Amino acid sequence: MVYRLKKDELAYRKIGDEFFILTTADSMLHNIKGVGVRILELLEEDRTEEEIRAALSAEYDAPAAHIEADLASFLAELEAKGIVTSNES
Amino acid sequence: MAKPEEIYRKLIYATARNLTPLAVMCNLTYRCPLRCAHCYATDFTPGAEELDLAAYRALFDELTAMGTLFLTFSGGEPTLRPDLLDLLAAARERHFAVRLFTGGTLLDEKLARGVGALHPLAVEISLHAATPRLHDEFVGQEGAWEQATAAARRLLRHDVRVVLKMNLMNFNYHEFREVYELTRGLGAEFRYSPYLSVTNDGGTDPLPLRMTDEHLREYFGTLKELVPGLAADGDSCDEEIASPFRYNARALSCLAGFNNCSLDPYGTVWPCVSLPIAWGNVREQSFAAIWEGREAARFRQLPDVPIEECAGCELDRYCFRCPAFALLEEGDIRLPSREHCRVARAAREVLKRPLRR
Repeated sequence: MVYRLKKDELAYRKIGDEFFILTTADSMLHNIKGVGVRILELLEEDRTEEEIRAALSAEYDAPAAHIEADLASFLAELEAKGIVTSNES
Repeated sequence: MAKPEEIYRKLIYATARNLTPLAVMCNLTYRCPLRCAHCYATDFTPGAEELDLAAYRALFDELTAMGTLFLTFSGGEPTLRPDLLDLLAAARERHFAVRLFTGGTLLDEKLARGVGALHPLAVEISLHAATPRLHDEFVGQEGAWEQATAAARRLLRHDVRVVLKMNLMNFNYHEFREVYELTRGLGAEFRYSPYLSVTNDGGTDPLPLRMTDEHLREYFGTLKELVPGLAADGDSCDEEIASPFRYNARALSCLAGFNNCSLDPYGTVWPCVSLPIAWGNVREQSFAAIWEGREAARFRQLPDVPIEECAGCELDRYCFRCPAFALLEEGDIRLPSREHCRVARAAREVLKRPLRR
């Protein structure tokens, strides 16, 4: 699965060690903390899910299965909020 | 998961504490085709050269690095800038949440389409009456009402969030409900204010337009009808009165110079559009040097809750004291604003008990 940050429809800024994201379609403000910040940075660089998973595995001391499950869950949450879009290719 | 209003509050207070310029208003020009009698904006250096696109791009780069998220383009009439879409694009490329304040008279289909493609947070259009003639006479241009409402429709067709804004004055307060209904009918949002300031050089020309106490009571009576439960629940009272000012809510307005500021068209940085206390000019210094400079530091040394007379005031729950009103009308930023006391008194009188007609 390829996830893309919907940059054209978002306003966002990293302030301190957190991301604040406004989805312009619904004017909702979202707050991303912790590992989510790193995932967003990787999404900003247009990394694929596989590349993000590999980067997190290299940077965090956690079982691969946990990282995979948590990443999938987080990306699904971002998609539900209108922050990313996904396609199969 | 935190609610959006909790996130917003956290963002506001964290940025004020850390002196992050979260929100910056850029008055792109003081030129304007309209002649609204209540306009607060004073051109302190008429004829000076406005900042160009390159200067704004450099400014936006700085603001991005400093953590600014909200950027507002106002004026004057910002749509008079031929490079407005370039400015919007430059801001959106840097992922700012952009608002555009306009009278709407110059917002044609081409511009509306261009604005829509850039996904601003909102376009806010001033509309001061439901009766076209009343609005046109006030802004000094025939056809202005038709143009403003047509602009709102165009923008909405391009999926832009549109906010219609009404300043309540003695000539239009009786059309409050009609403008509210017009706005709802269009599918836009409505924002309104009972406060009318002097001009930002202290000029008193707008003052004869202020609502009388009787007008204020009628306005709050209508507000009470439009927002059921307003008076029934005292705890929600602040929120409901504050809701029209959500963009510039009490906390944020009190934090002028701490997490927000404004620039005039020539690059002078002020703590707020209504507080013409020059901190420096981005043509001479970086924005960061101004934001962290001596003048800004001196302004921030003013105590933020200093007002003995306001402490324990029974009107507190209805009051949104504005430091600029205090400075420009009372002569000291730390004093109560008598105009806010007057509005708060009318709000309490009406909202605390059933309105008698």
